[in-house]
Amino acid sequence: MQSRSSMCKSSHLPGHGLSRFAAALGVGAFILTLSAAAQNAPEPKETVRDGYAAHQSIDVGGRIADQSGSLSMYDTLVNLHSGPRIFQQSIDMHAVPKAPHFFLFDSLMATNIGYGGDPENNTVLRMSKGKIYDFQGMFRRDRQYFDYDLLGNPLIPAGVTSNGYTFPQVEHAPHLFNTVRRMTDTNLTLFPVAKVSFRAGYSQNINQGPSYSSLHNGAEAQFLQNWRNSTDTWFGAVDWKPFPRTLLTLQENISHYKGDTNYQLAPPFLQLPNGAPVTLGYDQVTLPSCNDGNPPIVNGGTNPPTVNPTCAGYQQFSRYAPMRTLFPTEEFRFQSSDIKNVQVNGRFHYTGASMKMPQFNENFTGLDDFGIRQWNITGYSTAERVSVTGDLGIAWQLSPRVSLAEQYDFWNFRQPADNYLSEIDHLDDVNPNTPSMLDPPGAPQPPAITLAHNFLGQKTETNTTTLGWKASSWASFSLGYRYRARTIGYAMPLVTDFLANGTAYTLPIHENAGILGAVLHPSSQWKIDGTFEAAFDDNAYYQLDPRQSYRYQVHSMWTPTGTVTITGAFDDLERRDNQTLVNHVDHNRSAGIGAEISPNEHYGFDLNYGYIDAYTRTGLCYSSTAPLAGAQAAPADCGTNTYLGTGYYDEPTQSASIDVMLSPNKHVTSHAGYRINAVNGTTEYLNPLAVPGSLQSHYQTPFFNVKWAVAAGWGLRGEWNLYDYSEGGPVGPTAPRAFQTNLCTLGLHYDF
Amino acid sequence: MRALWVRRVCYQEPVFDVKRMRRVLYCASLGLFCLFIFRSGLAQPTPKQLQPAASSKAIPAGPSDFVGSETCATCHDEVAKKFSSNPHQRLALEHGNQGISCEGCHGAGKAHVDGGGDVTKIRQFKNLSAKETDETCLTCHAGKHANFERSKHAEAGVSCLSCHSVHLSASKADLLKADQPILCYTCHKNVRPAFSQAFHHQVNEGLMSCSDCHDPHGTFQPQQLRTTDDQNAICTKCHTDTAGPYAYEHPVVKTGGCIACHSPHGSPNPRMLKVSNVNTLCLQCHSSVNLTKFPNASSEQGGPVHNQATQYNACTTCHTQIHGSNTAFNFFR
Repeated sequence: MQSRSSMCKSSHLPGHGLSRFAAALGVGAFILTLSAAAQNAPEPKETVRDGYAAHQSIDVGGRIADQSGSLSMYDTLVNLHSGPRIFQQSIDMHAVPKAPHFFLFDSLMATNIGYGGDPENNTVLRMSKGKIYDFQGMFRRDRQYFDYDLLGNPLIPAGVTSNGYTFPQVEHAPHLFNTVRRMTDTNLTLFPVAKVSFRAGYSQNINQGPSYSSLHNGAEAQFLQNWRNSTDTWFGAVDWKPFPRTLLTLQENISHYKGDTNYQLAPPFLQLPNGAPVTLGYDQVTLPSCNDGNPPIVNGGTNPPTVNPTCAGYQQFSRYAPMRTLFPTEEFRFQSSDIKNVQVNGRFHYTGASMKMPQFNENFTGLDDFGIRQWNITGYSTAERVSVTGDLGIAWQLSPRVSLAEQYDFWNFRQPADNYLSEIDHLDDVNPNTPSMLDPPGAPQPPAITLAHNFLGQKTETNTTTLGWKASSWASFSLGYRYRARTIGYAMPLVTDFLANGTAYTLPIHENAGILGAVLHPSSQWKIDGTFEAAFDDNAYYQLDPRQSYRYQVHSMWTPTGTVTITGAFDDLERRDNQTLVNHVDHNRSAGIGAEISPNEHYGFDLNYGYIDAYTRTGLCYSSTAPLAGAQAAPADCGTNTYLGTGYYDEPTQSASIDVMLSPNKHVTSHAGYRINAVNGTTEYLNPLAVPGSLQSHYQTPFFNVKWAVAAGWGLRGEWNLYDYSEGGPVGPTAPRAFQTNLCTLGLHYDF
Repeated sequence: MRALWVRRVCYQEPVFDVKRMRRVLYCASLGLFCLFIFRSGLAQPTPKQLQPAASSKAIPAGPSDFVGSETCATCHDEVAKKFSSNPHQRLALEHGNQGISCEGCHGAGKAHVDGGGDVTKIRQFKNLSAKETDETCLTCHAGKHANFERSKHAEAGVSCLSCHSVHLSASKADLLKADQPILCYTCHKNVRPAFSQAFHHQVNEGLMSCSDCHDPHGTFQPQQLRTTDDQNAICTKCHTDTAGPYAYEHPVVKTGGCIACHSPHGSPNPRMLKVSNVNTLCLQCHSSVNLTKFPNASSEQGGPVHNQATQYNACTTCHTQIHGSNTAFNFFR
């Protein structure tokens, strides 16, 4: 007997259910209509010409973005905007056997993706000719835009006024950047299958563009930081096979880094009473205090407003610090399987890098909180990086069921460095008790000299032994032991006006670890593999450096039929440093499960669910005049800090996606799906006035796309994506960061 | 079945619980479905029940046992036609253009041909174990993938053909079964969510691939990570401005690596930091909480204690050159 309520429910068909059904019928009919129209379109063929079978394709079209909400956040996370695009262009040529063709190559493949306005562009070129050469080249361009109101939100509340001038709220991140990275990688191999082959290559990485930076000195000055860093890398190598299964390699690598980033004072500018431009910085939670005790703005009616000249401010600033680093590396590698049941390989690296900053120049004019009107800092720095590594690995199949693997690693890097700086300050000699930016800079003070001879080094030796045992055709196990000895050396004997002496130390750390592994095949369609590792250190360099760590990893794949695959994976890294008051605990747990169901070429499903939990807790000292409720008083070790915090952070994240493929015939393929990433975390907010990252956010991206081959070689493509980002919970006093953008992409495809 | 019937206290008579019945039916259906799938899977013959194919340890063949790829093409025409664009086609150019291509991997074909296509007389990779498959591929490719036999993938029974397919690849150049990262996500399902977080390396967008940082064939590093030529973290290949060496190093960057502060796959926090608040991240180390055990943490700090309540800016607002500086021990410039 059914309950009354369930009978009522079962007898009632909501109106929206009928309309959904009707809509589904309509979509189905539309797709069937499309398929009927396209059924007779012939397939495009490869073109054979001049001895090559060639195939080319091009996709052109455009995007239409309808954006609402925080444009800064959308540009930081997605950055896809309206405009025409060359989505893809490719050419694939391979020589027809026994037909004469161009001497330079037998096969060529080139692809270009994303040009015309997308933030990521990619070009790949591969060419080869028989046994003579192989060439691979890749170019990638990435526009990296970051405007997230977190790392330095100056928190100018609305309504901070002085004499009629309201300090504007800063609506962009003070460390915003809008840089472009261009990366080129090329690799040429001559005589790739010969006994002796040669390799050479060149890579370039250029990172340039405007960004913002800051300097704390009296006021928080904002700088325009013009990024211009480039790295050029060359390598040449010889590979020699003295025996059929032995390879020796000698390689020389040279990298040259050039850092030419410079800094200038960034607007907006106010003015001094004499009309000279000045900035008071960008942090005014409260009104800036000035040496004469008067308000910071003397006249808010002028354009720009007139500033009290006794406030800390910046009139002019520039910094120039070109840096050049050369990294030459010699490398020797060997690999051999010529000894029966033994595979051995090893490598040896030596790097003798050197950095030079031959001329540092920083100029400031303004007024800082020490009464300095002007300073000029000059100097130079040098540093070296000497890195020696040696690795040896042996895998020995002792018997059909038992194997032994041994790996020894040695790494020693040493970085001595020198720095010399001379700072000449100019105070206000006219009004030393009430310095003012209207007074000229006074006589130069005696130079303050910084002379540093620093050192950082680390020597690491690791030995790992692993015994493998194939217990049966469906079970294998391995047991491993790892010993690691690490020694860190550091020295910074600094002589400055702030510190009389630095600190030098040598810190040894020894680690013992056990590793257990298993691979199981419960059936021919089901495989499980897992690893457990436990490591124990007798020392730690810093509080987050674990003295105990445990790692659990499991992967499973089940293919019950040829059309269904179900996979799962779990990874848990637990780390501890149980020292008094620190009590550091962190874990990073991730799990995922997915199913791919492809019964035939007409439809399929791809479902995924994942869970991540990043957690950390570390005892830390802090000071605050507005401590957290229930804050614990700091122990004596905390010095002048007043409270002991936990550094608690927990970030459980769920992620899910579904993708449904529907292809009624070979000319129409569509995908519809939904993805969501949801974070629901908490943390200890030490600073109630900070703007933290959001630990409650949803990021969902439903999508739909369809491709239709309308005629031989011609196709149409339509795609819709929704980017929906929203935050909940405490996000700090910042502008809302939620956004929603509908992105439509239309494309025309041509194969020939 | 008590679960389906509940006694409503008000009416003192049994009432059929439809919601619970639906749940039971769903669970029963799911269980039946799983049972059907699993049993049908168990019904499949296991590798050991199949007739053993010619393995990599078969008796070495002489020159007369090879028939040439033209012979193979007479039956396997479709495979042969597509092979002209395959990198392995180069094998045919060996030995004065008398080299072999098909039989280089599948073994000598004479017995297979003489047997009228006897599948037991030719190497079929679908019937080989992971180790046997790897031995075949590593005959030629061991030099380039010298660490594979000791790698995590090999230990887990992941063979060359788990990722590569010589005849049915999606990617012609590397003969991968699917493009990255889809291929990697097939097994590493737990990593996929990280790249869906708000801040992530642009792997899903195609700018980078998993193999930019990891070498799936194994390296001497943990997690099969690559390194730069000077044995710096692989991160510095793209993030070149953090490589240094600097006059004033932030020691943990060189000794502990970038992952001391960053989550390299993805994070809900900007700059892919491990925590959402920069001050918390810094104070975890720069805090004299236990000087006996961490004497070096305090001495690195140097400067004054900051009042968090008025320190509204993040530490990096002032300590801007946090990866290392050539001019300031406190990373101000």
